[in-house]
Amino acid sequence: MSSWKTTAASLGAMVTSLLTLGCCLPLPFLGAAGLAGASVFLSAARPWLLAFSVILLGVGVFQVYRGMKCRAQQSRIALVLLGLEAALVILLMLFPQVLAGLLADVSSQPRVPAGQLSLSILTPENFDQLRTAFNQASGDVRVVLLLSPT
Amino acid sequence: MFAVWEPILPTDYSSPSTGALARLADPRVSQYWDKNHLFAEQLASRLTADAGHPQPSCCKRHGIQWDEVAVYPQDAHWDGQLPRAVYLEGPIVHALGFANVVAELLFKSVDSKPTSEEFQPTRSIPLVLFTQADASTLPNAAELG
Repeated sequence: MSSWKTTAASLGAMVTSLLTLGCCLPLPFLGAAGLAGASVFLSAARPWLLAFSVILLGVGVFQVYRGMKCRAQQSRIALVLLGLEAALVILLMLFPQVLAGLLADVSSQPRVPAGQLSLSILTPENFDQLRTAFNQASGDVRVVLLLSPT
Repeated sequence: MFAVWEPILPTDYSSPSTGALARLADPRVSQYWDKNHLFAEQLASRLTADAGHPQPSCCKRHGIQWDEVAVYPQDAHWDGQLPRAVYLEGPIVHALGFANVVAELLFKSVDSKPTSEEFQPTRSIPLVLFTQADASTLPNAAELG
């Protein structure tokens, strides 16, 4: 009996946790889901959704605790879901931008800011494009940054 | 400005995200994903071959240059080998001296514009801070006569 409650609480917390990312996902992704305009709403609702996630997480933990107290057999699936959900909630609370970025990149190609040329992927075959661009800017001071994406 | 992104850290499993690219929002920036560290190799090659090249105090990981900023003067031309930078330092977050070097290069008169081989940047442009003087150190009116 308590197993399905734990599972439901875990799934509910997962859904609400993922909803907090809504503000950071690209609009086409949201549009496809029929949620145009939801990003604004979700951005404002993020603290509430996270709080709701934590409450549902607490409900799930309570269900497990009560089950253990009654020596009831816990569903393995429910326990795994609860663990995953706890990890997800913690990650979303600590690194919301990183996870939103990951999801955004999965759903679309990385985009450069407006006014810039698209991101060039250098290979040994086309490396000369960087050299050419560098030389074309001759007459200007040129700054080269070597960066890590994360 | 050329932003060359390369995988260095264990978390760099893919090209920079839209969020990372957005950190350099100026339209004058060109952004590159250099998965094979081709630019870093060119830079390392130049550093090895040119004893007079500015040597960065940081940063290398597994022998690959990263987290560095290089400044090239107006006359620098990249032929077979990367030209000599007038400034090369890292980590970028602490290499703010590059802005002074850029300013010096930009404000040099055309007539006295040095070549990349001659340019010797000052380490920094001194900043003069105007602070509220300690009243006890100021002469009083009687001392001033």
